[in-house]
Amino acid sequence: MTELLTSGIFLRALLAGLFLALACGLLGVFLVLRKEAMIGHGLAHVAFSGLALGFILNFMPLAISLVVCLLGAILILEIREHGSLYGDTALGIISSAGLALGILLVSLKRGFGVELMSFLFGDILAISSGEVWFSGVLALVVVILLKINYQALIFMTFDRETALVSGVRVKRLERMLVLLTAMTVVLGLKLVGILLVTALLVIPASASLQVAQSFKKTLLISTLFSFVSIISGIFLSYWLDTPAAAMIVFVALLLFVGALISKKKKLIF
Amino acid sequence: MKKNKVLFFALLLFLFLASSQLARTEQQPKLKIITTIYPLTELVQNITGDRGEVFQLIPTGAEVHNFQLRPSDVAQLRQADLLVAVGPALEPWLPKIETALGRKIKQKIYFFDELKKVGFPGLVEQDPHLWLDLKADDLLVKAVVNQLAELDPKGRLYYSERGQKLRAKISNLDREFQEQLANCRSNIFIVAGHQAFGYLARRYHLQLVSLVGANPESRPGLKKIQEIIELIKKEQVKAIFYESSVTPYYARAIAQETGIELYPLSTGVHLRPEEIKNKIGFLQLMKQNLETLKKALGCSGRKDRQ
Amino acid sequence: MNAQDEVIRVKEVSFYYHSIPALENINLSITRGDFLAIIGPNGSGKTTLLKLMVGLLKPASGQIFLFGQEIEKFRDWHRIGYIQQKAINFDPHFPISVEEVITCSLNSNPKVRNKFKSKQKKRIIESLALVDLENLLDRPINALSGGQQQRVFIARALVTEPEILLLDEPTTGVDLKAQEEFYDLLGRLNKEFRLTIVLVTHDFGIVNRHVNKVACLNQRLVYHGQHEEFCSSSVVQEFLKGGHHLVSHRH
Repeated sequence: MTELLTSGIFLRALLAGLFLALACGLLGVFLVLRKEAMIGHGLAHVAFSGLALGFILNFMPLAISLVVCLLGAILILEIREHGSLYGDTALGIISSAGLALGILLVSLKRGFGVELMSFLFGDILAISSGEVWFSGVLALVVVILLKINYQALIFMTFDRETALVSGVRVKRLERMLVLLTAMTVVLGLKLVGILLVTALLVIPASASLQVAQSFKKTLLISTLFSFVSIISGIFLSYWLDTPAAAMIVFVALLLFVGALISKKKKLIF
Repeated sequence: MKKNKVLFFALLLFLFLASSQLARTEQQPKLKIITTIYPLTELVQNITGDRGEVFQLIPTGAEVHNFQLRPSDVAQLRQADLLVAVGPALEPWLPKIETALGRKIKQKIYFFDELKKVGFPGLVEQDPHLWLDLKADDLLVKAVVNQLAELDPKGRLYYSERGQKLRAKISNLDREFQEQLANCRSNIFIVAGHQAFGYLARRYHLQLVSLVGANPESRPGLKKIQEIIELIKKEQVKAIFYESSVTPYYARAIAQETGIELYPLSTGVHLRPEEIKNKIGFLQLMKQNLETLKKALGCSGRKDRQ
Repeated sequence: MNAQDEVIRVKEVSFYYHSIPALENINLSITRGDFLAIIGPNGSGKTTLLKLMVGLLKPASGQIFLFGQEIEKFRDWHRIGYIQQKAINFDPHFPISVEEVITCSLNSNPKVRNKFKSKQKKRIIESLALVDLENLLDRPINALSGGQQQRVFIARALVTEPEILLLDEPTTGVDLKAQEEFYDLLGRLNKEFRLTIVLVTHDFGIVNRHVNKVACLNQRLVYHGQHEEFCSSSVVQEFLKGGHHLVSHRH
C-alpha cells in the first residue's frame, strides 16, 4: 500500500484524473441542464476521426484530434444555428459523420487498428508528466472561464430568453461551453477513452442533480462525485486488478444509484 | 480542406485501379493462396515462389481480432485454392466467412491444428502466437509444402526444394537463438504489452512477464503494473520490451518509475511503416528480435561459438 | 411630450414569419409612467411585438428606439426588465435557489454588477421585499407556488432597477387569486415608483383596473390610446363584433 502511494504511475493517474474530474464535473452540470448531455458523446466520435487522421499523417494524433474536435464543435453550432433542425439533430449528424470518417480513414490505411484501440478505453495508468500538465492547464482554463462567467452562465442556462434581453452574450458563452467540452473530451479520450468520457461528463452531474437544492451545491456535489469516482476507481483497480477506466465509471454509476435512493428518502442538500 | 478532398478521391481512385489490376493478373494459372497475417504470408510466399500467388487477408498492421471483410476480399476468397490461417484463437471470424461465401474453401491449413496433430509440446489453446516459435514454423512449412504438392502435382519438386531451403534457414535461426540467448545476465523477460511472446520465451528458457493477457486490446490494472515495478526493483531488471508497432505508453510509464530501458520487439504481425516500405522478411524480423533480446538481457552466448 | 419621457418608440415596424406577415406597419410610443396593455386575439402578433421591443427579434422594416436610442446601439439593458411568457414553465428539476435566480440577473450585466457590488445582498433582499418574498431567499425555486415563482421573476427583473417592465402573459397557469395579487403589485409599482409597464395579455378584464393605456393589435394596430376612451371607441366596438373575445366577463 505504501509503495502504491509513492508510485509515480499512481500519482500521475490520480492527479490527471482529478483534473479531468474537475473539468467534467463542472461542465457536465451545464451540459445536462441544457439538455446537451450527449454532446460529449458526439464530440468523442468526432475526436475519433481526428485520431485516425493523426495516425494516417503519423503526426501527433492527440493534437490533431483536438483540432478536429474543436472544428467539429463549431460545425455543430453552425448547423444548429443555420440548419433549422430540431434539438440534437445537428449533433447526430456530426457524430455519425465523425465516426464514418474515422472508419473510412482506418480502412484506407488499414494499419493502425491496434494503436487506435488504445483510445477506446484510454490509458490513465500510463500517462506522461506532460499529459498531467496538459490536464492541469485544461482544468484551470475550465475553472477560470466558468468562474468569470458564472452568473451569466447560470442565467442563460436557466432562462435563455431573459438572459438575452438582459444583455448576456449567450451565443458567445454557448460557443465557449462547447469548445471547453471539446477540449475536455480529447483529454478524456487519452485518460478513460472514447466510450467512457461521456460517462464522466453525464453521470456525476446527473447524480448531483438528484440531491442538490441550489446551483452552487449542484456544481460542488457534481465535482465531488467526479473526484470520488476517479479516486476510488483507481484504488479499486489496484485491489481488484481491473482496468482503471471501467472501475471509475462503475463507481460513478453506484453514486448515481445512491443519489436516486437518497432523493427517494428525501435526503437532499 | 479542398486539398484533402482531392487527395481522398485520388486515393479512392487508386484503390479501384489497384484492385482491377489484381484481377487482370489472374489470367495465368497460378495457385491462389490466402493467408491471414504477415508471418504466414512470408513463409508461404517463400515456398510457392512463382508458382503461386499469396493474398494476405488482413493488411499488415491492421487489427486482427475485429477484422471485417471488404467486397474485394470476398472476391479473393472465392478464387482461393488454399487458406493458411493460425486458428480460432486468432481468427474467430473465419467460420463465419465461409458461411458468407456460401461454400467451403477448397483446402485449409490451420497452424494450431497442424501442431496439435503432431503433439507439439506447450500448446496453449488461447495463445495464437505460434509463429514466434521457430520450431513450430518449421512444422508449418512442412505441412504447406505437402499441401501445395497435392494441389499442384507438377510443382512437387519445386515446392519441396524451396521448402527445404526455408526450413534450413529457420533451423539455423533457431540454433542462433539457442546459442546466443545462453548465459544471460538476467532471463526475466518483461513485456509491457499483451502476451505475444509466450511460445518464444518457453523455447529459449526466458521467464516471461506480460502486462496483459492474450488480448492486445485489454488494459492492465494498477496492481499488475505495481507488481512489475516491484519485480524490476527487486531483481534489478534492466530491460523492458514493448511491441514495436505501437506507442509504448505503459513501458514508458514503468521506465519513468524504475529507470529501466525500453526495447522494441516485433510480433511480425504489425509492422512499422519503414519495415513495410523496406519489405523486411519475417525471419529478418525474428533476427532483429534476437539481437534486441541479446543486447537487452545481456547475453554473452555460448563460449564455444565465439 | 418631452422627448426624454419617451421610453419606447416603435416606428413603422413590420415583421414576417417565413414571409407570412405577423405585424404590419406598427407605430407605437410608450411614455414614462405608462401602464400599457397590449391586447388582441391569439396570433395577433402581441408576443412578436414585445419580442421586437426587447430586441429578441429584428424587424423586417421600420425602427425601434429604446430611451431615444436605436435598438441596435442600445446597451443599457439593465434599464429594461423583461418577463417572458414561459418564465414559470422552466425545467421543474432545475436546481436553483431564489437568491441565485436574482443574483445571476444582477451579476450578468457588468454595468449594474459594479454599481451594486458593495451592497449586493442588500439589493437582492430589497427587491424580494418589494414582492413580499424576502423570507424565501434560500428556497429552491421549484418548491414555490406558481404565484410566488411569478413574483420571484418580478424581483429578478426589478433588481437591476429598470425603468420599464415588459411582461408577456405573465399569469398563465397561476390561480385567479394569485393573478389579482400579481396585478395589484404591478399597479403599485406603476403608481409608487412611476415604473413604466407594458403588459401583453389576451385577458383584458383582469388588468382593467390598473391600465391607463391600451394598444389593440391584430397584425395591425387597431387602437392605441387612453384607457378611458378605449371601451367607447368605435374601432374597438367593431373589433369586438368580429368575434374577438377580448374581455373576459368575470367581474
